[in-house]
Amino acid sequence: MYGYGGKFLHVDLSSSEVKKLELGKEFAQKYVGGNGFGARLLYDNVSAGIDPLGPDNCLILAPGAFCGTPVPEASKTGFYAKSPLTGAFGEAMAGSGIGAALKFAGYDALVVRGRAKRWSYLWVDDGEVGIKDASGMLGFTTSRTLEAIRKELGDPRVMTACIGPAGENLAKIAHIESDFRQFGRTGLGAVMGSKRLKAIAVRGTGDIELANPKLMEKLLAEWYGTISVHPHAIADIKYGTGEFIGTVNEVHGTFPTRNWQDSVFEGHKTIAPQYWVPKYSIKTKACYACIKPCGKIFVIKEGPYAGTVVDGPEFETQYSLGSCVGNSNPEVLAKANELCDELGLDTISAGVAIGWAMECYERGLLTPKDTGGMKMTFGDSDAILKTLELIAHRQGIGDLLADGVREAAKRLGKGSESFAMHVKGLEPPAYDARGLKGIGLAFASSTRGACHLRSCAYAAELSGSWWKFKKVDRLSADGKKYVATVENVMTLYDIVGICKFSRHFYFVEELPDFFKAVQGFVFKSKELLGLGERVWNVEKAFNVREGLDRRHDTLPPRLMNEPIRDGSSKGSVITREELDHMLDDYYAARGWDKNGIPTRAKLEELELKDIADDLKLV
Amino acid sequence: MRLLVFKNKCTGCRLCELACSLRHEGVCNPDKSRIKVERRSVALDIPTVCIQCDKRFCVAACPLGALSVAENGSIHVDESLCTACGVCQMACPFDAIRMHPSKHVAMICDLCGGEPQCAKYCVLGALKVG
Repeated sequence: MYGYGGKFLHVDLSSSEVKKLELGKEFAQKYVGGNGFGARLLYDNVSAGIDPLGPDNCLILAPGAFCGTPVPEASKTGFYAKSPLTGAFGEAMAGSGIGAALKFAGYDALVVRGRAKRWSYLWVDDGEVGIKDASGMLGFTTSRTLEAIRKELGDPRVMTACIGPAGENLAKIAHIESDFRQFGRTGLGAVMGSKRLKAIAVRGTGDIELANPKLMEKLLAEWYGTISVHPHAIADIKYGTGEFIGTVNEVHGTFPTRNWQDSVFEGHKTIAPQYWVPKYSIKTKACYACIKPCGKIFVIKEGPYAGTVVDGPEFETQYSLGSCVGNSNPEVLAKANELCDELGLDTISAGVAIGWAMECYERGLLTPKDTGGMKMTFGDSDAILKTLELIAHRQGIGDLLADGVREAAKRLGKGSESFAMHVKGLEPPAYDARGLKGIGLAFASSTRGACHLRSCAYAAELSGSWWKFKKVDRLSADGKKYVATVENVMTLYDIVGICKFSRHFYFVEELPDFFKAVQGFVFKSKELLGLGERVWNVEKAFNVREGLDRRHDTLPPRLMNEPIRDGSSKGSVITREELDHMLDDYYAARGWDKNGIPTRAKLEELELKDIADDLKLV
Repeated sequence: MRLLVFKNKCTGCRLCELACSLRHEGVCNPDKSRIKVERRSVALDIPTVCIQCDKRFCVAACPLGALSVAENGSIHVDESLCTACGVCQMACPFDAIRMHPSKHVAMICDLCGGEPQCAKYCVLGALKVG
């Protein structure tokens, strides 16, 4: 089939069994790739109620449908599993070249189940698949693991996805590192660790054939011409993703600070790329097949953090390990980012967990006795850096934080739940929902917990318009049903594997041409929205099967009880009534019942009758 | 005409590999690309491609006369003569020659007949036509 590797690779680490299943044409047309394959394979291969860190969970790697082709920005590949952090649908995406490599090797998804008897890594060498000993790599950082595997295999072009010590120690906020990019969210590094799988290594040397190579060349030339001179691309290339940090801080007043106690960070200027790029950055770096590179290589040459070399910090990390922990020192920010990448921690979850611990400490709920004598006040550089190490190794206070803020607050109690920032267990990204109410709904409705990327609703909320949605009022709870549509659009991006930053160039209307060139599929824009909706409903069904409903589509108490204290969104809050109003609108737009459960009629409309049967919907 | 490589500007996107294989082979396959990019560390991406050097070590080394200099200055591989013996790879000090994985002939940049696809899509100008 054009545009595909052609097979799904199933590996059981318990029995060492390897199966290669043909990708059926019907399945390919219905779920298309990436997020679509990941969600459906997860639904079909994992039963309800299993332990996310047990052998019955599956870790799935699924490249976007356009990965491995020159569609500009088609870099995104996803890992999927039941999340140990949320107990629900788990998903993490990154612009790693491992997705393209997997397709060149002939596979459109890899499904890993079971648990290896000893620490191992999986070696996918085109048609040959082997499970190799990794016991000598235990404790290795992520970059050292990559180096060791390339050395052992004797090929410097082998692509890997690996975990650091955090994943080995089952920190539920562990990420998977690959191609110097991070599959950050929902703790999938711990799933990999629970399987005693240190890494996945892939070498693919086969062809991806295209339905229409000439059309592909034409589209590449046209879109390169558009994107490479686009003002958004130029801004991203210059300063990376944090280019608008000053705006969200001052114009919107929605930059979460000190564990969301404040929404304006007085120290934002020094963590903004406008300050540190000219001073510290030596080059610009891209994800796979990206022509608007936003990565910044940050190098520190002198002082206590000399020797730090990291790709980043990106916008989310400028918040999580910057404002959220009260840190305005860019060198500490870069060092903390490097530690997360090397130890294998999601920067968002790790930063929010530390922010929560700092607030606990300042309120006297955690004492020097709990922190091993460490002074855990906001902005304390040593506390930030030391705690990251402790989390990754599950030592001292780090053991508490390694399970994420929901679990940590439950264990500590003492009222700390009221300022534990999470939805469904996932720590939120850098958008203060109280001043961007649509993103508040999106945090609540997202299938993987508090997330900005599943909807990109912040795009419309911050600027007032995106795509066909105009006059979006960020401070109102009215008119937010558009979130359901943008979720479908962004799911579509995750299905084809296009970067969310492409939303400035590609809209749904542009995608059919790429399908013609790559797969030869003929889609209308409306059908593509339906595809995004279908896959979103599969994810939702996964969560429904786990017992989640309207009660879980909620927000952290702080966002509903404590109005923003200062800045341009001062006084704004999302009341319980407002959230309910937004959820009612949203469920209605989705065709779900008032409890947030998909109806049989909706699932049948989306050709998901089998799932409706499985959920025993009437 | 020649390709100029500024490796410190390489973002490591590897779009050049895809564009090259698409133009020359009609498929997407980095192993069939005349240019290769290695992402060696977080900071280092190294593109390697024929730079049409003055010495033409490969042409001189080929024992079968399969390599010649084309009008635009690129190296032309006569696929009917080439046996993939690898002597040109030995001779190239820039490691810019690869073997085609299925056709068993040397793959050397031909400058795409005047508009090299790799340089065309190199957004920060790590590859330029000089």
